[in-house]
Amino acid sequence: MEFTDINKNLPNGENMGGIVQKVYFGFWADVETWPTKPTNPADIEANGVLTGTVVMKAGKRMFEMYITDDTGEFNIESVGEVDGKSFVEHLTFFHPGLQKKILGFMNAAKNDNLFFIVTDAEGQMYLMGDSMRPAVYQGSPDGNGTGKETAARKGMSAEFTYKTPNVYVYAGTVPLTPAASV
Amino acid sequence: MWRKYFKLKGLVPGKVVVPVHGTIDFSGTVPVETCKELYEDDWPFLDITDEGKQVLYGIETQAKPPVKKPTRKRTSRNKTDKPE
Repeated sequence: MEFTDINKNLPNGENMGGIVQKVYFGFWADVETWPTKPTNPADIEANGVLTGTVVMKAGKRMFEMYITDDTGEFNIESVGEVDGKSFVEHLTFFHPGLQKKILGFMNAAKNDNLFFIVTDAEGQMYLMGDSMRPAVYQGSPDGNGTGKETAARKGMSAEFTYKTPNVYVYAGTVPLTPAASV
Repeated sequence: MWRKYFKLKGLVPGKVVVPVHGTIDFSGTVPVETCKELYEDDWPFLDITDEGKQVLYGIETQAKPPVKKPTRKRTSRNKTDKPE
């Protein structure tokens, strides 16, 4: 791989923060094939993107979840000692209300292996999960519940993490329809 | 219309999110131009039909040979019985 110059590169001057108002999720065990990490990439740009797409097992699909605006965040934390550096990706969000669906999601997600696709404000996507590791529930950074005052916001906050040796952009498809056996 | 030229493979017709194109619902109407772009980008869930090859790319597909109906072999009963 060759290094190249890294200039200020903000297409159309865009560099808005945050993530969009939905995240995509699924069970890690329902994935048939994962996109592949770069091997022997031509340049540093190719070293930052996954190749291929998530393909689900027959009859399985991904799902979307609404999140309240300005509550979602995708954060890349650098961890490890010298010569042992890696990353932990964090997804945090707030879903309004305490409806049965969101409670059922929490019940299912808290001790299971999931994966997520997160979209930033420019439409760039990040995949939390690979063939080796899932995204897992860490807790509720802003709590779950009704809130105290009537002016409070009822709902569920959640944080999921995914440990990865490298960080990549996901350029594949989000399958919101079940996979069919070919 | 798009179904004349393309067919979904590996997915039940429904919604997918594709970078650049956004959410596409393959259970309904999809612009042929969108399908064409996906096909040309080697999107793995779309195949082209013979009609699509012909109309969109001018590729003549080989006509399938007519299917022959299997002919039943006529067997005469009592073939070995020769009249006396």
